[in-house]
Amino acid sequence: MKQQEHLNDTQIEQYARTGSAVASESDGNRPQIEAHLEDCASCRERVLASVRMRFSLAGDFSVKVPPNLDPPDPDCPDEDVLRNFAAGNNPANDAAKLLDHISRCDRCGPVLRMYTEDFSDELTADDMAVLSGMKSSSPAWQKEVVEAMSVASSKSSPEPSKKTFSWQWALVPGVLATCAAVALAVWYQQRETPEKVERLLAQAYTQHRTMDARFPDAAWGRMDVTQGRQSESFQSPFLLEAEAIVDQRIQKDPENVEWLRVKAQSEMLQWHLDPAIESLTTVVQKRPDLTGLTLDLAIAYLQRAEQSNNRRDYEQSLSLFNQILKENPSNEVALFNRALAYEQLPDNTKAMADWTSLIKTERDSGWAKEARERLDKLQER
Amino acid sequence: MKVSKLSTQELLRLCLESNDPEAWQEFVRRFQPLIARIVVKSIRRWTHPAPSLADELVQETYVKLIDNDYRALRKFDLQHENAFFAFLKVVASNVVQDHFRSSYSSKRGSGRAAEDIETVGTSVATNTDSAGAAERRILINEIQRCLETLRNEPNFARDQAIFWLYYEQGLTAKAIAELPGIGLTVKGVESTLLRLTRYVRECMNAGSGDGQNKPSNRASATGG
Repeated sequence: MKQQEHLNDTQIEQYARTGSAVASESDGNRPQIEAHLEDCASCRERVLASVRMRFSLAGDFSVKVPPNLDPPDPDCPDEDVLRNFAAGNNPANDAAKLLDHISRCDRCGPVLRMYTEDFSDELTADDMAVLSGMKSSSPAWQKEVVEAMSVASSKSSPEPSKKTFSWQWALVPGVLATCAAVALAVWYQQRETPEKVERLLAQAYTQHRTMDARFPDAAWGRMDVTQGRQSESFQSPFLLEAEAIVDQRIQKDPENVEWLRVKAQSEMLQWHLDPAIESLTTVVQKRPDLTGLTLDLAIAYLQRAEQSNNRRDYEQSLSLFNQILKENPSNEVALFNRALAYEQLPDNTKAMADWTSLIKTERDSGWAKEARERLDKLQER
Repeated sequence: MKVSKLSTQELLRLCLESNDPEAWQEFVRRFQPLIARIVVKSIRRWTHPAPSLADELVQETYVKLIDNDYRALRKFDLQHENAFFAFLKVVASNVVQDHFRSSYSSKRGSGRAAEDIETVGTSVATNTDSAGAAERRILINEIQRCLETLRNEPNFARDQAIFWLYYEQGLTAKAIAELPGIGLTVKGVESTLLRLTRYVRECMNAGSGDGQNKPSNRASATGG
């Protein structure tokens, strides 16, 4: 057989079946076919694909792996190890061991395949269409990124500690705050999300906690009794940044529930409680199914009750916390804040019950410690 | 020296130590396509990748790189040129996954709607009917018995892994070649597969995998 440019489908199929002890007309051509396969990547790939189909050892390779993966067996490596492995990293230098396991594991094999597909160079027409539609592919966007990275880099060296950095803001509020806010706003202008704002607000809360009430998703922070509330003379850079984003986005999308929520949270941090409660009441009516909104509203009432010692606001906050805890008794933020509300009414029995429950389930050591301290104080009375 | 000529390590050092905008420009120029590509393909696991979402997550990736005084970049230990590309792939993939998993769990946990999130895909399809699964298992065992006869050959463990990664796990030859510990080109992987496939076919057709009727071209069955 004269060596052809490529093998035709029949030859591919026949070769994929080769190995049979029965002589076939293809046997005589085998050396030429194998010589061709030695040189032709395309035909090699076709032959192997044909054999793979014939073996049918695996499932449908086009099916996507679902987001929630099965928990691994004790022998299975962590998903992060598999991801790094697919990318070509093996810091533990145990490639042989990993290969041996992954090649035979019904959980790790598909995970590895998923990541190798994600990391491959191949792009579908749809991928290319998405990429060409992305702003981040444009020189203008990339220029902004470069400017922001340069600004961030210059601020990092020489580097004052974060604590003194914030004091410098307080000493030169107007110029530095504006410059920093502008630089950050340029960088972040296309990536503001409500989730990002929530993180900023949580950081502002923890950095400079001015309320007894516990803020959703915020790490524990010590009450700052020296500075007082988030007043105009001192504002956290996190809060400033959050406000800048919210102001811009609310203008573009004033009815968006997520943005209204974070706007209200920002107002709560600044003790602007009437507008916060008004906004939250409106959005809760629109979306009563969203527990997070109800929780925010409950906390806003609690804060206003503390501010003005208003019993009705305490009761309103209690009613909302009860509603939340009825659906989710282990909601730690609601439990913490309800205990505070009971303390103020006062209903020490119920407050102590809530602190006791919270101490059993609270995972954050800071919050757990505060709960214990509050319980101890009540028990001493 | 032109920044475009710098190695990855040199470029990284220049970016982190000198704050040179030209260096950062080269950084973005060089690595932006990779980051964007990984983000788009990773999003596709969860939902159709809208350009706006992809842009957002590309930005998140940069934030992660520069966060906390460029901690991730400063910590990175560049062993070889490709290591940084691998590092960026993992960071970008992580960003996308964190985004969707936190939206996924917050949708369940806090009552907040993750309205834009679609979960796609179903369970990995395998032969779920018991007869098909049993047949598959028998075939796998038979093939493994054949492969085992090569146990004493050099590179047996690697070659066996290549075989199963391709035929059972569905990786491409290219993907296999790029894995740590393989040490072969794509052609090398394919040649290994072809040799082992021929060997297994002959072994199975010979009727036993107990080594007594070894295929005639055993010496060429494994590559070195």
